[in-house]
Amino acid sequence: MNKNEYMDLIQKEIDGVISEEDLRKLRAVLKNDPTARREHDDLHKIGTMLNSITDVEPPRSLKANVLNAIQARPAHHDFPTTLFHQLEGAMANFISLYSKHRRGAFILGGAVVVAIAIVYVSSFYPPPAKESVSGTIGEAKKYRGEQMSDKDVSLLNPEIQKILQNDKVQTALKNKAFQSALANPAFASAVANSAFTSALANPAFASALANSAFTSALAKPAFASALANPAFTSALAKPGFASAVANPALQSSLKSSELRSALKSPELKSALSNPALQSALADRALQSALASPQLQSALSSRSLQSALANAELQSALASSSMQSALANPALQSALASPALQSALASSALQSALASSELQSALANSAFQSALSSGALQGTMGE
Amino acid sequence: MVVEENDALLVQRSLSGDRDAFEALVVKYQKPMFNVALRIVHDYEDASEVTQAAFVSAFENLKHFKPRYKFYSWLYRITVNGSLNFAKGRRRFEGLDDGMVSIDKQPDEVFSEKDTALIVEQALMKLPPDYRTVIVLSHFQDLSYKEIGDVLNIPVKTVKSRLFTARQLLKDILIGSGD
Repeated sequence: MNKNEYMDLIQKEIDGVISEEDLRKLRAVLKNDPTARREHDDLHKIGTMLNSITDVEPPRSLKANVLNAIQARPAHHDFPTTLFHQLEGAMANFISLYSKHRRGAFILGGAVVVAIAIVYVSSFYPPPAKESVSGTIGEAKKYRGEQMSDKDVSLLNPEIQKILQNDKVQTALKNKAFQSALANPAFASAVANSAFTSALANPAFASALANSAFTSALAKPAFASALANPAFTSALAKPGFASAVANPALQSSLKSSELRSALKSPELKSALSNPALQSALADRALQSALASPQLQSALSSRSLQSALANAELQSALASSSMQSALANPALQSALASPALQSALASSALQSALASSELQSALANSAFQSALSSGALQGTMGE
Repeated sequence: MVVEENDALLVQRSLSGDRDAFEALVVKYQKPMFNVALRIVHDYEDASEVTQAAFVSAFENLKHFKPRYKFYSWLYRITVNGSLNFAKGRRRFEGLDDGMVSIDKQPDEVFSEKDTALIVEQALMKLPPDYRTVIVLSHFQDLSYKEIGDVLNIPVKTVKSRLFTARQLLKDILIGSGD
């Protein structure tokens, strides 16, 4: 055995990675070769001396200093990856839902992927100057064919690369229905809205996605069209609205063709973006009311949609006294009554609601007070 | 070294904005990272600064961390690179005249363990940074050849070669060439 060979074995022995066979070979060499024995003893002595150095406790202030330093860092440093993880979770939902409700689920799946790409590009492109990432461990360099050049494929951003390398995304992208959804410009436009991606991360909304009636409604073109409206997607992002759509009654109402048709109306979509209306929609009684065919029919009326879009009416809905009135069980009960729903469905009442005079009256604080009075509510509930 | 399974989870939680999760990573790794920095920069205060900067850099670049790698390897790499950059920038090779740390072949008879440790630390500082680093990671952090390769982004073969050379250099410094 030459010097290089036995020195290699000595090193393996010191590092604790020598095999039994190599150890036997080394011992044989050491027994017969005084030079090898001396090298062995010296290197072991170095090892012993190195062992004399023991670990030192870091300063107590180290942890606090690190935490103070990162506290000052803006949270948006985390956002792209956080968003990706949220959307990756939504993608997992999509895969699960797809097998059960193919039509409904692929739309949400499309939302996820398109949202990833578009939201990222719109929010984070061009990417900020990368700080030194000298600590980043490089990936293994794999063989790359020459079929494609840099001119053919430009994936400059590692986040996008990461998204496209994700197994779930790749599986979804191979699906024909999914590809079809991605090709829908209105839908792509809808999911470009960051508020919608936030809604996707909402547990209540995720719960709604698991409902077959809701996913079925989502598959309808009218709803996809509604999603293309920024006001509507903004409404989707509100906690109250997300909670509302998780309600089975509202989900059931979304199946109605009239309501889906109504959702196409720009005025209604605009109205839905109103926080007061969103809060009202989150109310269980109102959700039940919305599930009634009559009210759905009423909502599909252009005049009622127009009324709902009226700024004064929205202002009235936003007033605390009106909200108080809406929160009253008697009024909620009244709204749930077939008679009132029938009345709302009448063109005459819808026209009345659309009139500027009635809207002004509704905006009047005295009228709102009257509405919130127990006597009037009792009368309406009869 | 023993690595708990929950590193990946702590990283994921940190990415979601959970500062407590990142604090847990700091608590877990501050000692080994500080000691790596200390052995490379050879100054307590400097090592503290380098370690702090390494953790902050890790936090800022956590989104670039690839989960397929071990978090501690990635953190070691940031710390080692920071320490080497610091040492190279400082260009302070606290001088020891050649032979000053040469010791008798029976060091335990002449020096106390504390003295020996000091002499070995000084000898380490005489090694070129790349060789010093593999000794630090191998002897003081008990990393395997592969783990050292991951940290330094070099092949295992190079790790073994550097370790061999580093030990020979240390032997020459501490014991003499023996020729």
